[in-house]
Amino acid sequence: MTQRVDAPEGTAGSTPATVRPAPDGPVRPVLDGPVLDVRNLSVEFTAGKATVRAVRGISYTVAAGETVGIVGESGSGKSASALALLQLLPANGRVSGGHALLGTTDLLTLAGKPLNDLRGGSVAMVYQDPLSALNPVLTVGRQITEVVERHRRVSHREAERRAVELLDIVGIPGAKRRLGEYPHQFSGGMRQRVMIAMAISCAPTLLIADEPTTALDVTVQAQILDLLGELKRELGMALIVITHDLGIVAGITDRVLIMYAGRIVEEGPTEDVLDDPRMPYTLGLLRSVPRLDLPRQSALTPIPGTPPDPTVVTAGCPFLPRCPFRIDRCRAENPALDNVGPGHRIACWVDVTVGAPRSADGVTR
Amino acid sequence: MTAPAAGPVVETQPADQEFLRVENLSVRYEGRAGVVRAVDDISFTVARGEAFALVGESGCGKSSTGRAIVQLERIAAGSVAMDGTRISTLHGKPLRDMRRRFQMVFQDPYTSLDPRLAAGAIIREPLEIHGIGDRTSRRRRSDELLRTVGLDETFDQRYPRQLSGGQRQRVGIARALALQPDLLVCDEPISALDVSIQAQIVTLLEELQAQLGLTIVFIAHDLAVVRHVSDRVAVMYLGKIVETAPVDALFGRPLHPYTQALISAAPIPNTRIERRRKRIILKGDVPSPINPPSGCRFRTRCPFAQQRCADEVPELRTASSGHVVACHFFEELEGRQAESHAVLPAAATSPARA
Repeated sequence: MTQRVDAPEGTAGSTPATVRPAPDGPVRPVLDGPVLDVRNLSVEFTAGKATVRAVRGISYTVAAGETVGIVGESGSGKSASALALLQLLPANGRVSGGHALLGTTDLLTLAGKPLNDLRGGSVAMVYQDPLSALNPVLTVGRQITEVVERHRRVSHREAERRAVELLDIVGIPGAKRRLGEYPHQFSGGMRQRVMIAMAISCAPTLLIADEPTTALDVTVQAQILDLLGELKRELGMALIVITHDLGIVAGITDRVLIMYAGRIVEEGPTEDVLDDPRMPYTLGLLRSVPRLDLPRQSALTPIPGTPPDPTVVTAGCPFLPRCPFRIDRCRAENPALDNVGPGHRIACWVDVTVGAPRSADGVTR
Repeated sequence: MTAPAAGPVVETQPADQEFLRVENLSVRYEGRAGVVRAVDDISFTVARGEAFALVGESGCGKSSTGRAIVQLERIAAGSVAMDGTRISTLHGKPLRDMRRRFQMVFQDPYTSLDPRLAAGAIIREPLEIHGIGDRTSRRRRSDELLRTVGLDETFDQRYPRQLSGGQRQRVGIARALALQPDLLVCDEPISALDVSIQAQIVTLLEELQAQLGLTIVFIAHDLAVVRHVSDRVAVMYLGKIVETAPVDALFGRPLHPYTQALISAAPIPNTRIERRRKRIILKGDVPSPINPPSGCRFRTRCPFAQQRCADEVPELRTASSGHVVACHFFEELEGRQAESHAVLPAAATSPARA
């Protein structure tokens, strides 16, 4: 079941442009295992004298061609954990532990040329705000050819041809003409398409999309999500989508990780987590959003309180002050992730389905 | 361009309950590139105690409409009347007296509170401006308001920077309530907040509306929230209202192709529905309001557009009681595509132990 990373030859179909394999790109990792294997990743920020432990030892894998959602609120560590993979943390942030294996390469120890080969090569990123992620004084064409030329031994003319092709693939009409335009001449949705074109220019193994549609209107969001799904299928790349929107998670992800206070508190196949949430925080999130699939009068149950101060480390579960299911044990010990179903794990001492402590022997380990 | 255009206000509820009346309202902004027609000749009424939502995407004019209602935006044409008084022509003291009756809750609780004032002082400021009560009674009133919005008197001396986003929004709501207004215009009051906090504020607004009998104009882009909080909804596109209906009718039987696309694009946290749904993916972006398309403004993105849509501006026409739609072809379209947009409220699924 090894999936090809490069674009399959036959994907051209009826579209004139096709994403071509990258014959002279960087060496691809061996794909018997997961594409990405994150182990015990920790990230810290210094804020004045305080140290913020933004990510506290998270582990997860992403399989070839899989879409994984990372969900959390501001301060949950969801973005920091993704930026850390490409060593793109701001100056006051650093990886304080862990590994992130892309094949056999630990992304967190790369430096110099191999790191630059990686970024935009086998791992690419799409950011929330394309206006600040794009260079305002370079034409869109130049920004794309820059990436192509950096990663491929091609002539400028060839890179330009490729740029037109890429804009075409991401659905920008009049690609050739628009190559000479600047980011401010594009609408928000079109700018996000440009970013996606840059990201897929070297047929990455893994695409990380950090809140890719948060800045967009809902009808444009639908276009971009549609595009991402289509490209993922065509290119066979793995996709990590960071979002706060459980509706987006439902639509495009295979698996989901729910983060709270720097840790993964629930993870599993998306339908299991959304249909049968077992961690009180996930349950709380699902009950606090109005939903078009429920009767209009369904009461919302807000999660009381606010997320914890990330500079404070407590012994117990960080969700405890807001948790309606809390028991004594939650105060003393922070629960580790534990299986509650196939691939479905939670960090909680309580069985929310009965509102009582989980019995150790009642779960599959 | 100030000629009273188009048809009369389409009545969508009994006149005796009418509280707010917006007639032929236009708001324009002068830009270097030309005149932006942010709101272009829209009319609607809101009943006393009703929660009325204006929904649409950025640039549709929903916020400009809200700001025009509370007289924070200059009205280019048309009028706003509240409880029978035309407020859009008032100035000076009569306007100030009237202002007590309508207040606004802003989107961004980070920029809409004065950082140099503590929460208590922020809430008391409107009382001072309007010369209401003395120091002691104003303090008593601000403490009471803090409790009303789910905080307490210990917040009196806390500055905005010491508060979380949700707490700031509560202070903003307390300030809006200080003068006991009849009408609250809430402009995207939860969109800057974290998901777990949004429900707290939505629930608070609903409780306040029930307790105080407030009339609410709720401006939002999140359809699920709009469906939850409002009694009636107006959908806006490029400065025009394209559809108005009681909330159940709008979501149960959306008639304008734009409303259908909006509803179909709203993500639902339910994998069975999300993976089975047929999305209406609109082409392209919203055109510039400086030079909107002729005829129906939605026609450039409408999957059903025909020649007539370019030639003729569609008027709002009644589809059923209280349900009006600005589309030349809504009757035909409804017959044609009955199933495609259905978002199946209730019944269809067994949600997660909700």
